[in-house]
Amino acid sequence: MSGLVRVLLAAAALLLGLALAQPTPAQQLFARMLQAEQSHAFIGELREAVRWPEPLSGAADHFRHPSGVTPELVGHNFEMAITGRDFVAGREAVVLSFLPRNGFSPNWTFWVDADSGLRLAYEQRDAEGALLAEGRYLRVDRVQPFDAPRHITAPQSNPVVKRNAERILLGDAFPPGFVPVALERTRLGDGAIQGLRLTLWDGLNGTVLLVYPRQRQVPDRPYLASRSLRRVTVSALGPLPRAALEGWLTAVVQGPVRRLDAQQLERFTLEHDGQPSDEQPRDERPRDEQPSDEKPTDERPTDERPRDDQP
Amino acid sequence: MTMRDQLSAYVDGELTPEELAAVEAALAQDPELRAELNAFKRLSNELRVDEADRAAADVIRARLRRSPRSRWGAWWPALVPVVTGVVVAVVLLWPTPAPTLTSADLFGQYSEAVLSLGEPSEELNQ
Repeated sequence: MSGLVRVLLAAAALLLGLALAQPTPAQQLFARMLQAEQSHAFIGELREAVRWPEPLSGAADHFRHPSGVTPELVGHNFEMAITGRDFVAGREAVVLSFLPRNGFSPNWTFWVDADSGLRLAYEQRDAEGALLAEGRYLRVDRVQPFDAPRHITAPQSNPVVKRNAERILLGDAFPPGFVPVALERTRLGDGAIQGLRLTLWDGLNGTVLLVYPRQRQVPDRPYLASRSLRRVTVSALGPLPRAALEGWLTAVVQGPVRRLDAQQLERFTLEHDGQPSDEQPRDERPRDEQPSDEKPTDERPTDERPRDDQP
Repeated sequence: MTMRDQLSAYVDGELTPEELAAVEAALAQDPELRAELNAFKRLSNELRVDEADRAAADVIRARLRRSPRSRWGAWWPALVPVVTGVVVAVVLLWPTPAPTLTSADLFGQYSEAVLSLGEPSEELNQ
């Protein structure tokens, strides 16, 4: 092989590597959206509805679901793609879709304002396409900059939580793509049952594992799977197919729950640029610009759905 | 009635005044009769003692028949801790209605855990 061919091959490999290293348009749009939401927000009318796990709906001044987005986990666990263009509240939006690589996490769609980079709408659907949550601006008056950049809270994998969760479960038995972010004591059954709650996060979706004293009867519902071990009952619940939850539980084995004390329980810790988290854009806006909680009724549409309408 | 019979009635105070005067006159004249009178008196005293004993025994029996629980009276202090223990054990072991888990309770846990992920707890974030 001549020297010239070698040089050409090396250059081609370098160019290929550079091309692969370049963020895709979808990744660029996602990064732009996250950056924009740290410095600006829409002033207008937003309607948000969580249909699972319990119906919640009403007007809001900023998106609250999901509470946090973890870019690193999203990049690892989801295929991002720009899937079209649309109009939301009279503004042009780029449709950004997130498909889970594990095949069973809920997928997300963001409608990103082409002009500002802010989210105009979102949808969360489970693996079978059922709508779990949605939010959408019905009217946008203007784009309002914050006085100071806000730090978006993003759940992070916590090694302390992971170590203690593995002690409880006797092994690294987490659904693919999910990392443990919180381990807390909790009370169930009107406060009569003490238990432990492990929260897992895949960047956009959460799932929960509950460990509590063995119960004879546990509800049987979609998005919920339970398994009774020697002394405890373990329930996995989240917007995942039943088979995924049951598959997770088969790997769960009761560990030395009693040896854990409160000091060993934790939630994820967040440090963003060395500063504490702050997700209160209303407090950072000028007082007269803050949306009022005393809007006329017709500006705060509600769509309370009965529990039976849950997917 | 012979003089012996009259002596017996004399000791028991059952003679008429005329009979009493006749017996006392005879006793004053006859030392053997006085000795026999003394023997009657001793026998009569002994009989009264026996009757008193029998009466006392009857009283006791009557009391025992009247209050049969008094038979347990001596035992009840010992029964107090036993009964207390039984009561405590029954209370502790009595099956209480088990708290039931509802699906709303479980899914409420999901909401609490996941929808608040953006708000880390200060208490557990030390």
